[in-house]
Amino acid sequence: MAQRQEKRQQKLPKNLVVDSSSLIALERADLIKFLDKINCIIFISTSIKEEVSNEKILKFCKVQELRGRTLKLSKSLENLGIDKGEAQCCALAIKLKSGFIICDDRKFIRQRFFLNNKKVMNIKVLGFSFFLHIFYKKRLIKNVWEYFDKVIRLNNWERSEVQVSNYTFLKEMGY
Amino acid sequence: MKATIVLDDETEKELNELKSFASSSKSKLIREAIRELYLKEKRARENLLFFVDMYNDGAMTKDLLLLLLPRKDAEAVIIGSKTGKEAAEIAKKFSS
Repeated sequence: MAQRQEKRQQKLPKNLVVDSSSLIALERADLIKFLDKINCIIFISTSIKEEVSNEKILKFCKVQELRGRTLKLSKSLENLGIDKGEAQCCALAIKLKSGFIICDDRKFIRQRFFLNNKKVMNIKVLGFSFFLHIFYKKRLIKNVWEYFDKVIRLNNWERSEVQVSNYTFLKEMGY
Repeated sequence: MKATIVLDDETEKELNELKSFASSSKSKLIREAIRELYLKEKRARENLLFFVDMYNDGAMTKDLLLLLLPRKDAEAVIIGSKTGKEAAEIAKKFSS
């Protein structure tokens, strides 16, 4: 039993770099409480901490201050027009070698598509539905689509890149 | 319904040119433009995810999306679909 649990745990990434958009979306749909049960470390930057400024969310996150080369990288991304929060997320993901961030910011998703910058393109963008996928695997929720609809509605993401990317993700994952 | 519409110089010029190209009245051209916009909006509002499925399955091209949906929605499908597929590739690595 313990072995099986450990095996299931190995399938999940240990470090998750998450943007404020996804955290706020989870909170609005009353899903934030499950972050405690997935055994992942949720990393956020100082800028994201300021954007979120909600203790209900912040208690699940580890704030990482950017210094030295990581800070420099973040500034260089900002110079490309990327907002501070998303730039810091990308820099943090590169530092932690995770290769992806969890972000549901429509502007950033569009920028990443049009920028055609190698550094930015190498960081893949997952959305809130990745959490839904984890919650489902951990049997914390029973119906992924019910929560998908709820999150989209509560955040006014209908007919946006965020809705399409999360929908495509869930379909590709076999839901 | 009768309506008074205000056009800027450029649109007025275009409407006049279109009237001669299409040999049609200005009223008819405006009605057709509204109808076209209405249908695009209606499709996007009621069936966007159907278009996402069609596009993801390869049954619909980018050009066709841009023809059938408002530009904003067609872009959302194209960009969102690419982002979502990349995300699934990453997630599958953790599941395999």
